[in-house]
Amino acid sequence: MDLDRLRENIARLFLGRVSVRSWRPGENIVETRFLKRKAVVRPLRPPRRVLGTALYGAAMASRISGGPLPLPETTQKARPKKMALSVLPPAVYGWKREETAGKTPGKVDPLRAAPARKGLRLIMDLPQERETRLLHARGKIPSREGEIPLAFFYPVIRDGVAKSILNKEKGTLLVWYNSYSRAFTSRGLLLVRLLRQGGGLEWRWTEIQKHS
Amino acid sequence: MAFQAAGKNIGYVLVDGTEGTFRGAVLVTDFRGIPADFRYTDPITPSKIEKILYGNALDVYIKEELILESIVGAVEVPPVLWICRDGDLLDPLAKLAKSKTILLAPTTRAPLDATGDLEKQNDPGSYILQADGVSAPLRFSLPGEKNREEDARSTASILVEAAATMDLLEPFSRMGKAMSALGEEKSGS
Repeated sequence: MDLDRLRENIARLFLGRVSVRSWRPGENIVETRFLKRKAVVRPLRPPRRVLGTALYGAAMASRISGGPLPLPETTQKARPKKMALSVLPPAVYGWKREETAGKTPGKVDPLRAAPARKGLRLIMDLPQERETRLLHARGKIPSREGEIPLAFFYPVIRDGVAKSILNKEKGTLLVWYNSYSRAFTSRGLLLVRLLRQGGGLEWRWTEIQKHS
Repeated sequence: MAFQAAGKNIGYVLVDGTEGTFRGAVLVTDFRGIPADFRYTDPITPSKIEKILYGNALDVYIKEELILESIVGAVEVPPVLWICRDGDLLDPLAKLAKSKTILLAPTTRAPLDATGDLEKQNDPGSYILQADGVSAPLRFSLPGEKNREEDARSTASILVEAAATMDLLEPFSRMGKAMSALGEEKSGS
């Protein structure tokens, strides 16, 4: 290969692309620093403040500012002040059910008119949620042949139930009670799968067998 | 038992302080879990400077002195038993309440032999109770350091009586739902 030709080509490629800067002594003299540094020692305790030596001359050097040490006997007693929080006692809202004795039961008595909005009835409208207790109820609830128990919900006031819904996702029973009801006797609600032809599910009220 | 249970109520106390906002509620139900009295507070959000100045003491102050006092004092239907599920609230609630107060929690223990069985625990004032025949036993704790067997027995009898007609811990979940719904309503309005 012709080296001269190659050099010429490269020279053409880089022509004008290399900038050369000039430097004259005296301009931008390089500053030299030593790596070794001198450590400055500062006392952690501030020096006594002696008035006069610097500001008023040597004649005032004897004027020393200061006083007795802050002993419990000499110090002024601190007066603690309770800082008032801007957090004030919260407004309490709600309602109560009127006493049932001799009156219309279940009547709602709002405490404050303004905040007695629809949310106040919320807690009354919320259903009670029952989880299955089948795990602990096996052997304590009557079982029949040809069925498989799926869930057992307890306790449920049978005569007080206004509405009930099975939450299939969670496997829980949502129960709405009639607040006018005076029933207090509870039972268990058993859900079984029938194995006979046609099969299907069946709900059945049942008692818990008590063991002595 | 049904006639005895009628007219008796249980008070549930819930004070929530998550995400820097505090709110509280009291639900008094009869022994079937049907609400008889319900009180709730407006949410309280302390300022940044208050949080810095008071630190952890702020939580205690807001929960115990502001919220708890306000809601318990507002209840008009007196319960025979107050139940909380936050250990920090047990002693202050016991001071405010005029009736028995306990901390109630579920357990995953195997059932005790019979309904009403009571088992003393190592923690002072703490007991395991078989409240009904078809569930895991519950753990309840009495306030204070004193270990009073008599108080535990009378509390257990109330719980057993109520557990025959209601799920003893269920009202807490209803209160939680109601409080979050009220919070959403407030922020949406």
